[in-house]
Amino acid sequence: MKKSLLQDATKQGMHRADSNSATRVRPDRGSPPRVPRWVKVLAIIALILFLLFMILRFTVIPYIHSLSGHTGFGGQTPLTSVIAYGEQPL
Amino acid sequence: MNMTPRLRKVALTVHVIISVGWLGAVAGFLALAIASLVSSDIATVGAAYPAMELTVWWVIVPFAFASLLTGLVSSLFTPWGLFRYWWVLVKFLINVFAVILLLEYVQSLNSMGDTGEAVARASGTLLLLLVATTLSVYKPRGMTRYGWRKQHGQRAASAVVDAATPARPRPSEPTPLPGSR
Repeated sequence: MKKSLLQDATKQGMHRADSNSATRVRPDRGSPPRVPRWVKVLAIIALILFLLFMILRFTVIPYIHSLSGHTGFGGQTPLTSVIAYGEQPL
Repeated sequence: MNMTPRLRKVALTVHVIISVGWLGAVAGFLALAIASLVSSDIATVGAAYPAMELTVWWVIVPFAFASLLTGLVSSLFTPWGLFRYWWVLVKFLINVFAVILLLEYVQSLNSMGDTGEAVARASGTLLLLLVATTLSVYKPRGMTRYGWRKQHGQRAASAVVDAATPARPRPSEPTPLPGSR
């Protein structure tokens, strides 16, 4: 009886400790752990966003600027530039 | 060297407050940048720029560096370490990248020209900080090779110490009651 109570308490304690641990570490199996899947997914997303940003920066944005006479905003001088530098002839 | 649990909690609280403050400041900056980009009201745009500049210099820059510093303290002086777990390492890289983005922007702040760039940078930083916050809440599993080696070394060392010392009951082990056997 005492023994079974002790075993139950030990099991509960182990379960509680396991559920409380923030990062569960797999038992040591003798080989170094592999890179987790979530890290790979995050890296791929970051790479895609970076490539997208570079494409936009070096191809699409200069193209839009050249179409709108180097001013952007459909040929109008942006209001922020007007405040900063005053109205300038196009 | 590890901190005491009480000190660790203080360091973590400071880190959370500063990081959340940084996130909120970037969100506020983004609102101002979008307002100055889309508004046709000259007074709104004229008011947004000084507010953006003040937010950057007095809130975002100090909070970004303080977040990096408190994060380093919270990781290096606790069992988590900086390079042992993937989520800590990724958070650190995100923090460094966000600070670099910020410094690049601060250097071009005096030119006051491209609001679109300010919106893009603020959006990117906000996204990065949201990912970092999510990581620190969920703490996804995964140990780096370095962390694994460290753990392996510690286990081997403790096994050697255990083998060298004479066997005695551990304090956590229940002592048998007299007359139970």
